[in-house]
Amino acid sequence: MERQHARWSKTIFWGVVTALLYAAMFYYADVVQYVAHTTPDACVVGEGANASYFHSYQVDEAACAAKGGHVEQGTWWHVLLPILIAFAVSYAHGAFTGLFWDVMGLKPARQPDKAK
Amino acid sequence: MDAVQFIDLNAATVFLLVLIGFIAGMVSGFIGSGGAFVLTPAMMSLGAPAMVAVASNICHKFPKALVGSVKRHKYGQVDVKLGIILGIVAEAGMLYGKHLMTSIKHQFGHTGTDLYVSVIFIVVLAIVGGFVLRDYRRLKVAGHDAPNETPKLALWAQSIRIPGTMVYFKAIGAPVSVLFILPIGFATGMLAATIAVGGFIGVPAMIYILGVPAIMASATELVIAFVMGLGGTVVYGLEGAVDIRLAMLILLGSLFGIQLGAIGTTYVKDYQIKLVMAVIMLTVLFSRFFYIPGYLSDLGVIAPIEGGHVATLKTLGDSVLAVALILGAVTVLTALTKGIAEHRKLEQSRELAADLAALAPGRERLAPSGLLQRIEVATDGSEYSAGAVRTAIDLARLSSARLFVTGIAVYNPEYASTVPGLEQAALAKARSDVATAVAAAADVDHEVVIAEAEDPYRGIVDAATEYGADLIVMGRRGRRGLARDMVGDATARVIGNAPCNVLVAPRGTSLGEGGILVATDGSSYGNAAVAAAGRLAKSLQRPLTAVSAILSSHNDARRQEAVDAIKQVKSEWGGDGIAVTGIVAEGRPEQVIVEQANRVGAALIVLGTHGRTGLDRLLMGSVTERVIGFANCPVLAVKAT
Repeated sequence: MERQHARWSKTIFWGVVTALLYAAMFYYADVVQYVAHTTPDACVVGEGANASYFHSYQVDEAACAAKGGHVEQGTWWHVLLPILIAFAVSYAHGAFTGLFWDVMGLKPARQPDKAK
Repeated sequence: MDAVQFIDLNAATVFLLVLIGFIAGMVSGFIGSGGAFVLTPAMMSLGAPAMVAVASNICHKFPKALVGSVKRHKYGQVDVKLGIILGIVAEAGMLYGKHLMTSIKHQFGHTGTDLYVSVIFIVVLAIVGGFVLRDYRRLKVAGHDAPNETPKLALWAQSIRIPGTMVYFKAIGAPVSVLFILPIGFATGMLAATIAVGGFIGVPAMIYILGVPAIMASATELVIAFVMGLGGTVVYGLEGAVDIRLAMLILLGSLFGIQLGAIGTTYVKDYQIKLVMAVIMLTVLFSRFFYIPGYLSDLGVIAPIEGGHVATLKTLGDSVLAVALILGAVTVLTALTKGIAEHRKLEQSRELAADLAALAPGRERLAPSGLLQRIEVATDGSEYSAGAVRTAIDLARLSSARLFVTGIAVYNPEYASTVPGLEQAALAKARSDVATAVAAAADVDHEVVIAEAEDPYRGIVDAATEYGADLIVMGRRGRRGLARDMVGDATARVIGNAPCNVLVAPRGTSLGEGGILVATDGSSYGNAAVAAAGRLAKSLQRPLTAVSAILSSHNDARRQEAVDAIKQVKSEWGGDGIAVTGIVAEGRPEQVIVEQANRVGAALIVLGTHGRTGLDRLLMGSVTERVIGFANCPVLAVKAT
């Protein structure tokens, strides 16, 4: 009984952590998008949620200005953000789903071998 | 300049992405492939450009690959050297594959990459799907996998000796020229950069060209997938093509699905899985055909097609993809519901049998300790388990208990279906693991149990629950230096999760002639240990030594408690025809317990444990664990309820 209780609390704990991670990622969706697009050089048109991003081998300042945007120099280490998010979410969500089916009572079938 | 717009996320697309992730995960857990071959086209159908779809797909996979490879490395299934060499070469292949994609994008725009990815998809799925279909036919006729033999091509590859290029690999068991490895890694990486599924080349190539056993090939592929996935995320990320929102939404559904799918595989036959896999692969392939005319017309390769027709073809393609996914989902869910219903019935009848046995006259069931009736001994056939087997047989003989000799077939059902013989190999290994123990247990009442699990500890705990064991006996891995006081993770986890007491026997021990030493501090854990030790001493007719440790910093009240605890043991058990001695000694508990056990030549140490796992255990440390790590005789961890 105590074990079952501990399983439930663990499941809920990881569920909440996962939910918080997702909530944070979507709350800051604009920032996440901005960071992803400005890893390479980008032509940014508009701001926040309405921003559009253009990439090419070499971002052309004149063409960008014609679109009404400005060129942002890429920041290579922005690439670490998706990697960090991927690790954190995988860890928390993986722990949660593993426990989730278990507390739901779904377990793999075992094929015990009986031979005396 | 190209606009690299990530797809707009609204409630509907979010729902669809999670749903597609779930179904794709379920299908991939069931048929054992990364699921990317469903995800890439699905993301493309939702409007993501091919490059964003491939990049996001790779990004959602690599942390899973890391977790998987660490897990399987523990079971010795990973050839790290081979994985890293292949992974690095694959990285080069990936860079080249990505370079090709970028060039195509610059020359022909996103339509160009869409066409390229679709064509590669069709070709690869046709080949792999064809092979799987052939496997299905063979399996259905034979009813089982062909015996594991080294393929002829691999024998040839191993026989070629090119001086200066030969490297020995554990997984192959022979030196192989690196020149064979380079093209395999390169092709794996290139395919991963193109369709996000490199394993379609990597795993079969390792098995058929290098002669790596299937179980190790699938595990080693995880190392490649991690090295490559991390590298791929970086190179695609530097191009601004990784849409982490997309990747994580797919992951949200897919992790639920993968585990459900993997559970589903345990309820169906191998050839059924192959059939589902082939049908889904070929249907996905078919769905991609409908997009090609539109791409070709956009690129001006064929006469322009009217917009309405392109849209109709696209809808047809999407519908075929949806049918493939729904088909997969329905198959898995049907297998699961049917299997669970049958399994429940079986469990109910087992429970009834156990209840009847417990209520039978003269068979009083003593939990959590005391007289033993059903002992589970877990063995992996190694020297580390030998002590556990001897101790368990001694105990079973002395208490006329039934012995469940348990072998654990460790494998991940997620990979079992794509890799021929993975499950059979794991089962065969588990059976050979228990062989020596079974022979040794010939004169006691015993039963062989083969439990299938992803983690050894899970298998041991589940078998104990299922067979109503009142004691689990297992070995301890020998450790040196700093790590010596840390018990193997599996042992600690079994203690934390077991439904009964756990006896851990170091290498080379058996249940000696000596007495029983019990540690107590007067707490409820100590009392549980005393009760169990007293009953054992009585039933085995052995002297009982009670030990209580005090620290120099303890005040008089605490010292009095220690003395009282010992007095209590004496008064409780001393009158029962057992010789009871009491010792109160100063020092760290684990040190005092082990020293006193050595001094009196104890046959068994009995301790109470909170049975905590995870963070609690890390924070609190555990005397039980340290005693198990240092003791020279078996240690019984009594779970206080």
